[in-house]
Amino acid sequence: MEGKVPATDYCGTKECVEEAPSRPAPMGWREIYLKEDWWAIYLGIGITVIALAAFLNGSSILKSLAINPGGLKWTSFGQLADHFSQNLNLYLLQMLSWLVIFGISTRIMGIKTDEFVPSFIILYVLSIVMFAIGGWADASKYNLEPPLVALILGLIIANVVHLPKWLDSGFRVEYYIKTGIVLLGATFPITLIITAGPVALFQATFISLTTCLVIYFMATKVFGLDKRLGAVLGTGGAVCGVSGSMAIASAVGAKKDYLYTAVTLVVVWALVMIFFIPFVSKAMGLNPGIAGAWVGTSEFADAAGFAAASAYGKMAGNENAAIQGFTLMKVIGRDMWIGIWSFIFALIACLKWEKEECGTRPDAMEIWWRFPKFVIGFLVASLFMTAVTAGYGTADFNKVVKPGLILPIVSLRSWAFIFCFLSIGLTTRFRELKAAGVKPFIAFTTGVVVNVALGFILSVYVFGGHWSMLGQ
Amino acid sequence: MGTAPCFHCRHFVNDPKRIESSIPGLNTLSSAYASVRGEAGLCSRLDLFLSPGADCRYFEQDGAEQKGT
Repeated sequence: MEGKVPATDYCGTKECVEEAPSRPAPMGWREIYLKEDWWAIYLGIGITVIALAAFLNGSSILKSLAINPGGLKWTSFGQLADHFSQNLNLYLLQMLSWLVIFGISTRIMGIKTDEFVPSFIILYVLSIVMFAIGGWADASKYNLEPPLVALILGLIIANVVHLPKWLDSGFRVEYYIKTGIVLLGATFPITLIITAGPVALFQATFISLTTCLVIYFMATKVFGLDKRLGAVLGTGGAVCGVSGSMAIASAVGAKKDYLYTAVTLVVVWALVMIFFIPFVSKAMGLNPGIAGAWVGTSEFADAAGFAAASAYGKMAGNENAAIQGFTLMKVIGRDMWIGIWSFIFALIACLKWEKEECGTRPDAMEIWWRFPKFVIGFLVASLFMTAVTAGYGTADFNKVVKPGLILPIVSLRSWAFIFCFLSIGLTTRFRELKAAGVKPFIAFTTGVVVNVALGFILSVYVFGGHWSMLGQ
Repeated sequence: MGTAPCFHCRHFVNDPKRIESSIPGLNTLSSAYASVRGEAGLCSRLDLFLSPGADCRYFEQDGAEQKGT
């Protein structure tokens, strides 16, 4: 670390040594109410349990509350207006429900309620518009997929209209996507994770390692940039985008500017990939499961990846397959391992880069504290719902369980995803992004090219037969 | 041996809202409220992004500010 010296330089006297705390008082388990990962678990599992209870008691309340206009297939504005006038109460009740559960949880995490509430209401109204566009009978003919439209609309609003910064309080991209992922777990068979997970893990790990090494090599050996910048860029491009960069930046004690540079490069390339991969997949007529795996390998962040996978799934007529391929590759294959990446880089920084100055050895518990806990919620929801629905035959499942239990959860998941996709656009202000510099840009872009090419080859040619079985 | 971890330093900022406002774009595809950040924060003196257990010669005991949220 720059300017760092052995801790003994700070404590030159006995008194000082005794006064100085030996370890920081960690947030520790208080994270169960201070981190959004845990709240995503509570909301996702809570909604799933309520849906199950309503289903078992023959209540249709959650089914009614899970309303959205995405499946209307309307052909005239009159039809759309009729739908809203007939269901206005349900929409108001739904908005109020989202407001309460997200509002209370964000308040506990420290976000101001008087900022969150107006921001979320705007987000909700825009989300209804997105669903309504997606519900137009001709929407797919013009590629008006809600994820892409939401992203573009958000980008336009954020960069043309100067939104006040406090509105970001309601545009919680990560919180919404994590809640959506836990809800996704409730419709994701655990058997699929067990059977397809190992291949996803192998493909994701191989490409992550390769991409990280390419970016690190380009940054440090070719351009002579700081090792810490190479590490922050490498994990941003290879593991899980900005979250990966943030974890590694703190593990190696990187300059704030390095993290800022990684944020810019990840955001810009992630936005490019949201459009590039779906439209190339469409041009090539890729199977949606295969395209989903490709997105999962080559997109940088969960939120951006779900936008790309969902958009292509809708284009190809099998959203489920694309979402499954993406989830296996990204959530199971990449996200889960960020704590280990972080610990390894902390060890390298401590034992190799700053042998003489490393005052505090990395603590292996950091692997747990940095673990993206929402993955636990995803797995628990998957296990729970697989067990609950195991007793139903295929006919009963399709006739009873699907419409009464699964589809309401899918609808609420779609709401969480739309909140997220809109929030990506609404929080992307290009004028605020940092000029990354030519060398970091080329180093990162080289990794992107390698990642996308390898992701394509492995998803299509090496494991294509495997991924094409998804969503059936 | 006693050390002076950054977590207790007055220059160490790990309030998620302040982190997000210090690094524009961080909340676009990630979040300072995420588990993956742990309790990492910014050093306002050296402009570094650090683990709470890091330490350095510029440590100054934090008096009043509540950390860990």
